[in-house]
Amino acid sequence: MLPTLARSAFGTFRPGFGAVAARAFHTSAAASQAAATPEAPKKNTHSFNIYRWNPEVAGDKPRLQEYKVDMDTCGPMVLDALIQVKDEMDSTLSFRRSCREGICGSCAMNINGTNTLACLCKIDTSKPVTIYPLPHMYVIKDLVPDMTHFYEQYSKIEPWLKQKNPPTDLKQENLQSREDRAKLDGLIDSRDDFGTERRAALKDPFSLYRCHTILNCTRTCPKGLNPAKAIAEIKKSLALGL
Amino acid sequence: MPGDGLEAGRKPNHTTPSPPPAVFRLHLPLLPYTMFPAMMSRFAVGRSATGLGRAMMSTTPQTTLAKSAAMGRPMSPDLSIYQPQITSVMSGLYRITSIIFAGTFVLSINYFGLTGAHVQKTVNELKSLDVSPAVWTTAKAAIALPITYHFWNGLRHLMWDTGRGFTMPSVYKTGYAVIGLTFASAVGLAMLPCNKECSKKQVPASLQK
Repeated sequence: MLPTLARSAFGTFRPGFGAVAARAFHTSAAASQAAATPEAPKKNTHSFNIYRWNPEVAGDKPRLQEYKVDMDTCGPMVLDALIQVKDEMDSTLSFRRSCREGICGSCAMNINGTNTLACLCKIDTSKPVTIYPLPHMYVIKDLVPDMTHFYEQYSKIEPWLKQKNPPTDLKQENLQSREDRAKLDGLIDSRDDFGTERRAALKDPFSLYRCHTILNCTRTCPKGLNPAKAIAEIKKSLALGL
Repeated sequence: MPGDGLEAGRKPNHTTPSPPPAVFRLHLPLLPYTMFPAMMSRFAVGRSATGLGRAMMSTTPQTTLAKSAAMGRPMSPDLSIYQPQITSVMSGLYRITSIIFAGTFVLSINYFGLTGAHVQKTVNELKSLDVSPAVWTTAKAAIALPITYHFWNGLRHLMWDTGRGFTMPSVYKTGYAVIGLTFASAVGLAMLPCNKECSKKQVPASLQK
């Protein structure tokens, strides 16, 4: 109870100050209780069950390891908790992170059964947080999956601008209208000249047609994009022979 | 978490290298790669890669994955750890109902083909059984439910094939609509009259023995 009060009073400060403030609060409160409870005041901790697997331990089996993170000194996001665990509790825990603000995608993992970015996922304090690596990937260590296959597939769609007559003046920006830029968030780059070739490269039983319109991708997309709709639009354009 | 094969402590989930649960691994590219070599070669030839793409493709997906497997890396858990969501659950049920239909089709073709039974005669025999109408209605609803679900969700998929209804609010709305229509129409079909007297058609004389 007391730590909660302290957190609400000093919640916007950085952990260092919050911790000091909370301790001060405990001291005065304990004194007023006439030393009825001699044991140290309980910390406001929350359980994190984290997938662990260490390649350097021969015969190691994957397991969930529980960490009790002090929520009075922890930031609001799951990534804050992971960093706290690594800094203060267990430096052997491995995970990827970079920008901590939903841009880079490094901290993608499965949190409470949903694939998301740890830096954008608020800690749900109503139940223990369970964290797995991204599903169905070979694990290099702990929460770090092997992304090689992912990048191989990604490179196949050639996710860059291709032009038949690219601007020769490198000081000239490759501009497009605001309306065309908005379309780029869906599917189409107005400056790209290889739409026909790109569609032809997708004419096989796998690239598009392994998508069964489940829509989990759209539901979880941290950038608010709609991959399922983009795939449906490409399927449609192939079916209509565009 | 129950059912994910992992418990706190050191309960092993996968042996190393992990043997995949057979049912789900059927979706891996491995199956088509081995089953349809002709298709796959077309797949490979049909792709042109330049620059980075070509460099990356020099290692095929199989070798990349095989490399990880050979290093004894475990496969991270997948279907068992997902939080159920209306999107994935409805998709799974859609697929399961397809499998039920395919299985029923094969079994019934074999039954009627191999035994020489006649459909209407079989129906009449079933109707002659001494079972209460409640049992009949329940049985009919159980048979109707996957059919109505597959029908309504199939319409939803046809809508998606036109590129419509892809916003999340729309996905949820149409999802709940499909669930509602599924139960309503299944109950409606099950309530059709089923007593012995009402619609006992005659088996053609040529088939009477």
